[in-house]
Amino acid sequence: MAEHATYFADEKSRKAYLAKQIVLKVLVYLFLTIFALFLVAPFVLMVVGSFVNAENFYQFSENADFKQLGFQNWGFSNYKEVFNDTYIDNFGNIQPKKGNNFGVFFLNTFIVAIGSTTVTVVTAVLAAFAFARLQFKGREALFALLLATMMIPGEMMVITNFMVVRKLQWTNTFAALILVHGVSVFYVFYLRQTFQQIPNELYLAAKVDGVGDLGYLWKVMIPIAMPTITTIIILSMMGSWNSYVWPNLVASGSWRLNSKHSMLLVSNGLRSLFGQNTSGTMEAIKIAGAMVISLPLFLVFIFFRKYIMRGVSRSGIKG
Amino acid sequence: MVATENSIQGTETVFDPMKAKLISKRRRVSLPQWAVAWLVLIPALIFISMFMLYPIINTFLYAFIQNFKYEKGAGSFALGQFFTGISRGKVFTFGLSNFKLALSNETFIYSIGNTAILVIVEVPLTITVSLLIATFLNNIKVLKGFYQTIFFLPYVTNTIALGLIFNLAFSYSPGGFINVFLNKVFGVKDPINWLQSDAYKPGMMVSTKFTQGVVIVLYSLWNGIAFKILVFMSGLATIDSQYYNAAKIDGASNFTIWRRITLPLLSPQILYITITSFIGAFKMYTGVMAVYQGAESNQSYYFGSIPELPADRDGEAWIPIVGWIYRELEHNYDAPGIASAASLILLAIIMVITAAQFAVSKKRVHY
Amino acid sequence: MDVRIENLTKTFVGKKGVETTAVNKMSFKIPDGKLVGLLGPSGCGKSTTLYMIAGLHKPTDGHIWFGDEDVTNVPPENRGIGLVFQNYALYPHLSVRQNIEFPLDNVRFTGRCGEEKNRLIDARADVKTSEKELAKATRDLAKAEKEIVSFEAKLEKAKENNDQKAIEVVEEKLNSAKTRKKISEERIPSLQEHIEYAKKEVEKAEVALEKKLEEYNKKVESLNEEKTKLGEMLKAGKDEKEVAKQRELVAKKQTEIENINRIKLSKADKDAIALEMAKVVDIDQFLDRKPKELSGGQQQRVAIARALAKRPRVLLLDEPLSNLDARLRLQTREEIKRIQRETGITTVFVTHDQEEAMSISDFIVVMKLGVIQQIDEPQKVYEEPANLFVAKFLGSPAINVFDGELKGGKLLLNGEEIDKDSAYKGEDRPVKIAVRPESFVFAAKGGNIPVTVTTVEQIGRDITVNGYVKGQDNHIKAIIPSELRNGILGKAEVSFTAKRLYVFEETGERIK
Repeated sequence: MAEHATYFADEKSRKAYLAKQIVLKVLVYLFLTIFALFLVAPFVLMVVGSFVNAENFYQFSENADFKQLGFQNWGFSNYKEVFNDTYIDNFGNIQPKKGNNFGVFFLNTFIVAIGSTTVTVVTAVLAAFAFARLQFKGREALFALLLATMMIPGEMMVITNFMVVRKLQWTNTFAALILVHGVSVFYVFYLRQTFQQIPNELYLAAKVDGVGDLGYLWKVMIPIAMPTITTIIILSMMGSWNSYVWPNLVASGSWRLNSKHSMLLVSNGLRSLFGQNTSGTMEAIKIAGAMVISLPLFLVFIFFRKYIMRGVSRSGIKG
Repeated sequence: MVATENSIQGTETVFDPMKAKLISKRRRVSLPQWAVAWLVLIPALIFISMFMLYPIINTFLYAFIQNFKYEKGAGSFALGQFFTGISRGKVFTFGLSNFKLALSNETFIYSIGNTAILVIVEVPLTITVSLLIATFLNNIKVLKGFYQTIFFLPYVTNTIALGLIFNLAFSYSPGGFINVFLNKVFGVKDPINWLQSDAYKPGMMVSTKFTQGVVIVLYSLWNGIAFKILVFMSGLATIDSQYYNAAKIDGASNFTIWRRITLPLLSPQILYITITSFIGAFKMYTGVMAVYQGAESNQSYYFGSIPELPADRDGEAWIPIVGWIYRELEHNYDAPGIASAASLILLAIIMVITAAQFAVSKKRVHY
Repeated sequence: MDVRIENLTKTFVGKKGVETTAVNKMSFKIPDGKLVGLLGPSGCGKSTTLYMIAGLHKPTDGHIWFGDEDVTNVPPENRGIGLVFQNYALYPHLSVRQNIEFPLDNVRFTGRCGEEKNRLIDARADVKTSEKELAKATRDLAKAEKEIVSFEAKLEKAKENNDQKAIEVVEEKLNSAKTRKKISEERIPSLQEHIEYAKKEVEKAEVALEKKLEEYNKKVESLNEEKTKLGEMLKAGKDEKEVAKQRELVAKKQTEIENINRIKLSKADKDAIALEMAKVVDIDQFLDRKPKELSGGQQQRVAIARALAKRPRVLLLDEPLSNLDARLRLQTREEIKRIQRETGITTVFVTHDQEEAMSISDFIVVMKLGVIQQIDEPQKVYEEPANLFVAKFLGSPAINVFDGELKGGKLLLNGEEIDKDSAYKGEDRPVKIAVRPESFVFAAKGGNIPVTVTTVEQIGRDITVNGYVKGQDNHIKAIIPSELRNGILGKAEVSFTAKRLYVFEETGERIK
């Protein structure tokens, strides 16, 4: 609502108007604050739960004794437990994690994130370049076909991809995780838009300066489109970090090349280690686990907030 | 010393780049533009045809070929199996048997119902809340950035981690976050069992489908508003404040302005969000599964236990369509047929709903 | 380097095969070191011509020579041109220095006989492309002839069946085939001629290359001679001073050969060139800034520096001043003139602003719809327009045009003779009479051009009288020196004579 000057008949109606405005403002902030609290609550739980020692937290959840949450009971012990080799099972016994530890999960996820992002960015840059700057027969038709694939739900493709992966013996390999989702048509579309905004004169100037098509891509287009490319890199890495469904289908065991190395990614690992664990004393440790995998995302958000928000609003995708 | 011919004719000892002549480097033969284009598209085309186009065709084949059995040899490649099968004299009939099988599966039908309920409850709720938040955010100045950041947080959270937190927050024990909250703020005495199928203490309540549903909806709400708020806010930002000024001069109240100016001008975004939200909600899977911490044998496909379900269907309380499809895929060796049929049924549902929304939108969306 | 254009033609084929001729058989010559303006309204083909000189558009027909080298088929980066775009087209992610150095990455020193080698390669390529084109034209001709035969047969049939629609369709196709045949028929002999010429060029280039190589070899021989001499001197134990002198001579010759062989530009070389160019355009204090930190005029100058960096033979500017505001325009205009004078590079620029063209060009080429109207020095184009279009285009405010007639050798306006001093030949016919605003002379009495005044504007130095002459449709503008205002102000009717007038045929050509 724009600010504007309003004139009133008398002092009384002015006061009434002001009162109404104030009440409205209060209601608005109240509404926003309630929902903001709703959004922040899980994080509060994460912070509190992950730092309060496991025993104390267990006591608290048994009888709602707030004293258990006091700062004297805070420490890093839960985090240590997350990263060590044992866990407490449902019967209260200590069990080894057997190669399933968060260090491995992190490593796997990094490998997949970097590999998949590299593949995605390279193919997207090349494809967007072709569609934005090069002329060739069938360009429009091919692009329309690509757009059409965007509208098909991914769930339909999963079935076949799953069978193919089984057939190619790619289960529990990195290839299945990196290559199958190697191309996102969204990124091609988004980057093509950015490339198209580079003025044509620049291409002609570069031509006169002796630069060919590929040289133009490398020396001019990519540097100019770097912000968009950065956004794509960030969103893609985030997507890999958060992936669960596909890895769950094709990579839930140990690595094909080394059976001691678990293939689980970060989300799958969290679920596998702690998901079905119902022993109360593990609660705080579970929360620490959740915190551990959320932290990198949170850091990325703080540093790259602008890139993420710009990318999301422009292309409307989640990773 | 006799000056030789050469020493007079400008022997340059110092090289001056400004005086030296320049010519262009000759490039080796360059390819015509269309060749470069196709060359450069090869990686993208390989990936898209192998992992997107082929699967789409294949899914249709799986769905419509009757009694498809997973065989060695041409294996997963339905096309391959098709052709080698024909060459071996095997007859493939096309038919709707897979669809019949899927639709006669009790759990599948049950999952359609579950999904429908979740969609009908969650989508309008989330959209309304997002719209209100976006509108309010648009109208405040103080702390606007702060609130915007908070409302964007869900976007960067990990679904599974968050599911775990929700699970613990809604735990049945008295110290569970929500129960504490209800106790202290609203004075609710007994802790509510939201998700667990067993009683905390004898005589205490057991979670019902309703309580579990509440958790799922709240989880989806939490996750869903970030993106929607962002889209609505960018849409609101494009509305010229002139319209508001004009309406104020015409004496309209805030609510009237919102209803008759803001909403219509925002209708393209509302349509986009509505369509994508419905589509996304019908495909719900992780969002349901994450709040349950599953049984050991079934960690990815556990969707809650309720007394009404028989033991052999335990864990299917809130099973969604996609959950059923994936479960079939992983656990049923002959799955591709009915899984594909089920996914096509899902696709059909989505398309019908989207078409209906488009039809309604013609009258109500203004560009 | 002079630039010669012969029969240059460019036709664009739009959708549905509609052909537009942007440039139609243009021929002119630009002498070395001159600044030439291509002037005309939008759509007259001036930018197309410029781009063809640059090599970004391929001419449909015609040739372009830089000096004695035919560059028609040479790609833009090998022609040795610099191009400045209307919106500067600076690389936004590079600093000013990097922008200027950018073309230097694709350029090298000539080395031993790089120029001659290039020339030979270009000439051979020219022969090849022309031969290919000849083959294509021959094929097209054969195809068109076949089509004509078949269409004519179809036409006969359609006429027999009296199928109106079919007749129209087939006739259209027949006509298009006939046009294509004609085009091919015209192209083939000209292509063959060109091939002959091109082959001679190849020979010339080969000869030049040999010659250059010989020169180089002679130098190497002389160096070796001096080296052996030095060796002998050392053996014979000659006098110290003489040996030193010989050493120096050898060293000098050695360096000369090294310099001749130098090919790659080092970073130091590039920086030196960039600095020099920046100084020429007066932008050297901004070398490390990015384009977006500079004003429009400064960016323009960076674009010029970048174009000049590889010391092109020809400098081309596409509407260089259109993007600048009025004040900067005047300033930058002078800059361009100054830069051109200092560097002495043959320069061609395109503009639609006649004042701009007039103020800085050595020559103006006035164009309309792809055809040259007049080429001359600015003042001549202004004072001796070749036709009505040129007269109207140059001069601000525009020239006033009246309908008059020639009767009995006399020039009449509204029945009155207005030019008693000249004799006009030819039959009686209606003509157009044009008078520049500043050519009107206020005659207190006895003027033969009566004007009814609508408004009078006083702008300090002059008075502008707006009005119209009886019997004429157009309003006229007359510019009178301010001193005479007393006779004009407040009057409803004034009388002028014309100090200088031009007479044009109805079709536009000038009558002398």
